[in-house]
Amino acid sequence: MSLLFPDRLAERLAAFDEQALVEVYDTYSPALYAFALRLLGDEDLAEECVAETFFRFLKALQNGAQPIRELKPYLYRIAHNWIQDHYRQKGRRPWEIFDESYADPRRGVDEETERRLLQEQARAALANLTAEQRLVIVLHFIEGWDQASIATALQKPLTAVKALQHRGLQALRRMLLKEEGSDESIS
Amino acid sequence: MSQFLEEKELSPWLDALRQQDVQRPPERAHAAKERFLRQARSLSVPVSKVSVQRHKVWNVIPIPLWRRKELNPMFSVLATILVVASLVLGGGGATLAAAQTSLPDQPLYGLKLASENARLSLAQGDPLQQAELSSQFALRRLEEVQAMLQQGQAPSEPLLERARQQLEQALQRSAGLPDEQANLQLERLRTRLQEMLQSRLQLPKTASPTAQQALERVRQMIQARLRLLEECAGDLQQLRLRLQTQNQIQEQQNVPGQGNPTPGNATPGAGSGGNPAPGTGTGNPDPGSGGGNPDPGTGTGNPVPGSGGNPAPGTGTGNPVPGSGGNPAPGTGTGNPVPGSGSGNPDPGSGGGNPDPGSGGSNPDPGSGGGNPNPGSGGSNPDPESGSNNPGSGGGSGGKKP
Repeated sequence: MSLLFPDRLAERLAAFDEQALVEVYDTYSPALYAFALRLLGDEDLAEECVAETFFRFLKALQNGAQPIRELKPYLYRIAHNWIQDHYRQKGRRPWEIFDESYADPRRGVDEETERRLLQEQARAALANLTAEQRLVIVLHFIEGWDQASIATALQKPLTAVKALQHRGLQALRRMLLKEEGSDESIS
Repeated sequence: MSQFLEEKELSPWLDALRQQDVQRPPERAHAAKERFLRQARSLSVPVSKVSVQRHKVWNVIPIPLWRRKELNPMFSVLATILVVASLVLGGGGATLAAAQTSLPDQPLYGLKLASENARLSLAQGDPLQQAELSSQFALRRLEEVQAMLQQGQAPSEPLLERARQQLEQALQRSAGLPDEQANLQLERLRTRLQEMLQSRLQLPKTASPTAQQALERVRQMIQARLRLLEECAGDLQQLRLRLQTQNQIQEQQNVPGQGNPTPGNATPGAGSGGNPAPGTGTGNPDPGSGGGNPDPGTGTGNPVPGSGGNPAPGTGTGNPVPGSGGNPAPGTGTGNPVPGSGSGNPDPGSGGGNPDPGSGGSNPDPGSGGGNPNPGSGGSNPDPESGSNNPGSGGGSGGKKP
């Protein structure tokens, strides 16, 4: 399915055509699950995130305020908003649990354990970025979106997306490579 | 540092995330999809046109209260109608019914009087019903007085006055009926009044002197009416005449500038005249009524309004003697038929210029119009209770008395 889905599908979705709804769900649900799981690191939370994303999508269809013409960025934005809310509700900065021993790659651990460790570190660092920096980094470096698509999804100019990406990488570097000032507030 | 180098440095972490196993368990994926479809079906139902149509029906009714979106608008409308109906019919009726037993010092008493007036107004055009209602309401007033007395309270002056007026009105309306109906109605009223006088008008032992005085006034009021009815038994014409006369007197007393019958205004020795207007002083040609006023309340100097000195025409000479039995009836007593002769007696002790209790008016000559043809009943009040108090002053009517 293309990013801008055809009007015919839009009409079918607005009429709650079940076949059209299944088509959308089957197309985007696995990718959204992967996106959520990478950021949250928890299968249950990822399922919850996907379910809530599609429920909000249905409510938007029901209200019918604005036709949803760019479905993929729309769904990712909803999912990311839910993740952001989850971070806020959690009430603590994930970076605080990132201690020395946890980050030491010289400890005798196997490859799988080390990968899990790196994943946890990456999630913790990403959680400390701003919402837009995080979205840009994840969509570009993890999900493989080009910057133009990200600019469309965020409804920002391309230069703004590049700047967000640059600042996001710098912040991650400070946190993960333990450079000086790594515990500073990220902005 | 270039973005490329940064990315390279961060690649272990970014690669770890990319390589994360994101395979979704098929059963969970299936359950999530089923849940999504159920939500889709449930959300697609409420947007149906049914609910819109349902509200549209009631939107036609231009009452904002009914335009609320409720689960069941019909119930809301019916409930509103029922509440309004119960307030108008049931609630109002209950309040009115409750008001019927209220006493003058209670909040609903005004409603009680208003409902009585409304019933009298509705009975307009039906003299019999009006007479019945008037009797019923007059007796109610007396019962209210009785209830207050039994509670140890002194009935207020307005209540006593209202009772007197309504009793008077009941008598007049009853007497104004055709003879047969009038006799029946008056007999009923007489029976009820007698009943009340004999059995009901009682006072508790702890009653205040004011309450005792009020009781005495009410008793005398009732007694006077009973006596009138007894005297005129079988002679409706006479009764109507006397009631009419009393009514005229009452009306005249209500006119400002007339003599005030209240004892406090009495001025002994002033000799203020009765009304010296020509012709007004003629005695009552009816022998039976030529005597003093049969109303003991008037003859005995009782402060009931209308008693005491009478400024009415024809009452002639003022009676400067304190305590003299005033006679309020026109032409009764010692009405002086001579125009201008009704000047006050300069002698305070003369008792109205007629020291003879049995002499009737000052002018015993019936031909003159002023004298009462019946000398025995002339000046003095035939009622021993009232006349005997002051036999020497019986003839001196018209003057003010204390």
